[in-house]
Amino acid sequence: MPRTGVFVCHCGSNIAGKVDVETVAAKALNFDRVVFSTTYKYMCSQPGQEVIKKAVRDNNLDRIVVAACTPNLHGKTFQRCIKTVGLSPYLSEMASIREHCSWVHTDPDEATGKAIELVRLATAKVRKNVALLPLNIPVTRRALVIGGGIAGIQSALDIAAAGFEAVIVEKEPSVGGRMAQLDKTFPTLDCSACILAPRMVEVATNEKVIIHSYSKIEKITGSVGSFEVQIKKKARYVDLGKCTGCGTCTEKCPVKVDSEFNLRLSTRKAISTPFPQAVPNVPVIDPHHCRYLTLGKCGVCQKVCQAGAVNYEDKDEIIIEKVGAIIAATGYDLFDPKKYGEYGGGRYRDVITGLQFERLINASGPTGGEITRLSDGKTPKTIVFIQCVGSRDEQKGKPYCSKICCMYTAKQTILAKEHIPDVQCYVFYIDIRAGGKNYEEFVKRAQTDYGAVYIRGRVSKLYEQEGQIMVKGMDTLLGEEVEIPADLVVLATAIVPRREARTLAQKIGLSYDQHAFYNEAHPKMAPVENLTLGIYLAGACQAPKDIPDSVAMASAAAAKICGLFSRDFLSIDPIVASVAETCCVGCNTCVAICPFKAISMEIRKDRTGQERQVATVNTSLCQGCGTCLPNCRSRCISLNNWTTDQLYAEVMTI
Amino acid sequence: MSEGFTPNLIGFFCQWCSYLGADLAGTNRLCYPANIKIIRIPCTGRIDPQFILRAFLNGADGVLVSGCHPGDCHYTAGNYFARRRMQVFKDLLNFMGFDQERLIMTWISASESKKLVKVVEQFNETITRMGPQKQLVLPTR
Amino acid sequence: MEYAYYPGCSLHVMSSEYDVSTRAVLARLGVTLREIPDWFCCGASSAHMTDAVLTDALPAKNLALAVKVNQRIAVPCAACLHRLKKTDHKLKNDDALLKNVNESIKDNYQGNAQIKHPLEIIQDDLKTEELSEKITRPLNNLKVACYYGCLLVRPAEAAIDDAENPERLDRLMNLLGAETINWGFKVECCGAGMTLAHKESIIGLAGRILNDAILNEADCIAVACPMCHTNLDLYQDQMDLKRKVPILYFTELLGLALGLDYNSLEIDKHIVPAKGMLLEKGLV
Repeated sequence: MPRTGVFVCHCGSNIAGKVDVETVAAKALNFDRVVFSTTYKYMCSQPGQEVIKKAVRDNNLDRIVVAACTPNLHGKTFQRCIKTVGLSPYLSEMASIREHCSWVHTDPDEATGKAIELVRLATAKVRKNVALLPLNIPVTRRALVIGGGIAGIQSALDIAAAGFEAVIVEKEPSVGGRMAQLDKTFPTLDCSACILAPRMVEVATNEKVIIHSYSKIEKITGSVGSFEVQIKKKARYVDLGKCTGCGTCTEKCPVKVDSEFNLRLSTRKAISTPFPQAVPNVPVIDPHHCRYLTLGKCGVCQKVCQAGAVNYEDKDEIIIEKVGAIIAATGYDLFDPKKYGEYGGGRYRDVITGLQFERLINASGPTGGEITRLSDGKTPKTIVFIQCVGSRDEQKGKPYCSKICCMYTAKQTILAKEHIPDVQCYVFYIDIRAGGKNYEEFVKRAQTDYGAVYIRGRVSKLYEQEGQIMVKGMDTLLGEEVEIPADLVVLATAIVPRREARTLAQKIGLSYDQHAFYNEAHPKMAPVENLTLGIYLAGACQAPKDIPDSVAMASAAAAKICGLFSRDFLSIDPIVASVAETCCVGCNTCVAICPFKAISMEIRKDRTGQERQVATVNTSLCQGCGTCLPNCRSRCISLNNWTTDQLYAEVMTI
Repeated sequence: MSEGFTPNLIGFFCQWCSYLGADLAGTNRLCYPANIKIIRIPCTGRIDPQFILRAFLNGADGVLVSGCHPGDCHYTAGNYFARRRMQVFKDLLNFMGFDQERLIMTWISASESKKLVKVVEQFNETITRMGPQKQLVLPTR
Repeated sequence: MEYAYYPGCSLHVMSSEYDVSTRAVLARLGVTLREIPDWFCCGASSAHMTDAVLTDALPAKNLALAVKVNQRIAVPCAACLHRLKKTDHKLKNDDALLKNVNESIKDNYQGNAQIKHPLEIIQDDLKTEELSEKITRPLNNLKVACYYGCLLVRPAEAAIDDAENPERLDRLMNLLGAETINWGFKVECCGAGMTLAHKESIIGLAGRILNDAILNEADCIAVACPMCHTNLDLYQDQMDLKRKVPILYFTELLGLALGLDYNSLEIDKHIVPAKGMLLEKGLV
């Protein structure tokens, strides 16, 4: 006969301030099989857990209900707690009387009443809980890293340094990501390429790292410990093994196309590498623009290639990689400023984005580092920077702060001044957010040493007049309108998740927020994990982030994975389905319905020797969704910890 | 509307999205009616229509099923199965002459705490207006 | 094609030439306008600043009267259009308000009006080819600055075009053979209802608009709003301008292109004379 103990937490005043915890504990004693109840200030604390342990021992309890915060926060804590006194961790339940009660209801009587009801539900369920045994699953000690930007590179290198293999999948022809597009980095003004390139070379030459560039994730199946990844390697038309990277094909190619890497500020050839330091340093042919692939004529690149690497017959290829853990390091895109009609909606050539400005000042960029106007090639003498284009704007853009723009705008004013000594920079801002080591000092330096004029206020309108861009805005500190005739306007556009972020998340089963940034498992205590076990996050796919934060996050995710890989077997919650074979009628419905193909039919002989088919669940494939249960005609499938008995027990007490 | 009537509302919330949305509503100190009890389930695909029927038999005045947005199911397709089941089940309720408005299904993600509050408030308003559910409730209750 | 016609007060008095030219060009294009019997003020800029009930009641009553003539209503005045469309939008989305308003106007408006500016009628309801065929005097050599003002493009529920870079007038003028300038003052404020109350504002604001049109070498400015017309036209001799710029209703330019008689369009009623410029361009 179950003996349940109920432990009601005050959570300081978080719960006790609204809910009468003593009444909850007293009422709980009336519930079925409850033999003990008590309250404590902080149940999750060490002394709190001692209260539970002592009560279990003294009262011979075999089940506990903790009425406290959400099970997502401390479910595991109390499971571990009772494990130390010999109880199965699965014999505990939580009643969320904080998140679902004291924090969301105003009336103390109502809140207390609801807390009692929530405890009643939990005691009903726990009565039916079973001492499950954890599943031990083998671990494939290789990691998949999605995205070959600085975050992906860093985590792959860290994983490799621990002796495990890392597989990088990068959608562009080269690794490097956004950092490869930047000129210098704040607040030290290190050259971005100079600190990135060695890492790119390292990752390319590390024998523990496999790079699939110009590739896409098609599908991911399996779960923590054993994922199977389908990768589509796009046809490159150039043999990675044969190409020497001499560049003759690019030189001779007659077709010019807007360069994506240079953000359409220059052209590239139809056969090209995105940038000179590309890794791998092997070009790809753009099949939409190549004359041979579109018209069947030309073929110059094949003729000039002495290595015989050009292969027009190349096809997309699907490859399979087996890994035990995944890091999503997919990075960010930029908000499209076309949505801002008042900034020209893309009509003015001398209004560019911050990233385009990075390409302009970059020595290996389209202008060789000369800052020039796109309209007439002249050197600008007045540059206006507008911050928060798309950030902190609920009307037209995103409600959040993009975090890096204050810093890179300050950097760009400094670099502009270094390139053009008589330039005058203006920055329109809402607030300056320069939290970080040496960040505030850096912004100050832009103003004091480099003469950037900071104007607090929004720009209402840009328009062309006599070859200049007129910037009309408000100086909210002076309370007056300002109008600045600018030669060049740079928009600090918001950071948004990659365009493909949502579809990728849906392929992997990653959870994401309303903007499609990937969700961390806990905002404070599990910032690099995702709710889906075995998947970790690094870099700006989780939220806007600068380089140091991305690198730190990448190393943290790698450390988590190394921890995972340090064991032969992984112990996980046995939340899987099982079939009571005696009553299975072998109707096949569950086989068809299972999204993970975890159920199959097997032949069993009964006593009379007659053969019949019954369903069986492959526990290493089953994810525990329970979709098969309602469809089972003979109700012979069960799901651990969410059995029909348990859920009925809850429903019966409403 | 019956005076002073507070409906007994039951929520079946997916642990990956709507239950977290409810957690977030707590973290954000949003406020919604106290007469809803949320039962945590692994996925809306796990919900057996019999649970809902049983809830009504036991005196629930309204049942709110909430899962992940289409395409966002943690298990890839549970919410689609749930959506179909709920539709068929509603037709059955309808056939029985039961007010199908007492059962609703919504999509609430882990970040949509404000939506959760709105949904619960509206549902509470609807059911309060409809009055107590007497069609299915067992005579013993 | 038939429309109920709501001219509004301005077109009956100060901007009668807009009324005359609108009627003339639409008739020429085969659109029949039937003036709404007993129409009255839409509330203009005063009602919605002073009284919450009148804000919607005045336009609603006019809409109720209008739909008795035709569900499709033509409104050339940008301010009237703005008032009528805003109220209509509110009524279409708020049943309780619709009921209240109907009670106060003692009528039964159903929220079924389709309110259109003549520019929309010409561009959306008529076929471009048919319009082109009727052009007998293309506006070749004419450089037009198209000025939209605020009310035609804001807010979204009452707008007929993009709020930042509207192009309807430009498209029409291009179709008529005119060159249009790409300028930054298409939707800049002209001073609105301050015309008489605060002349200095108009001189400042409208002056900037005119200056930019002059910088861009426009021969004239095309407008589709009587208030914009007045503000741009009235005080040019008190502004510091390099030259004067004739302000023409788009219907007048369209009328000329369609071969209508110059005098019948009453263009000479404008303060800044346009005839000289038009003669020079061979359009009279």
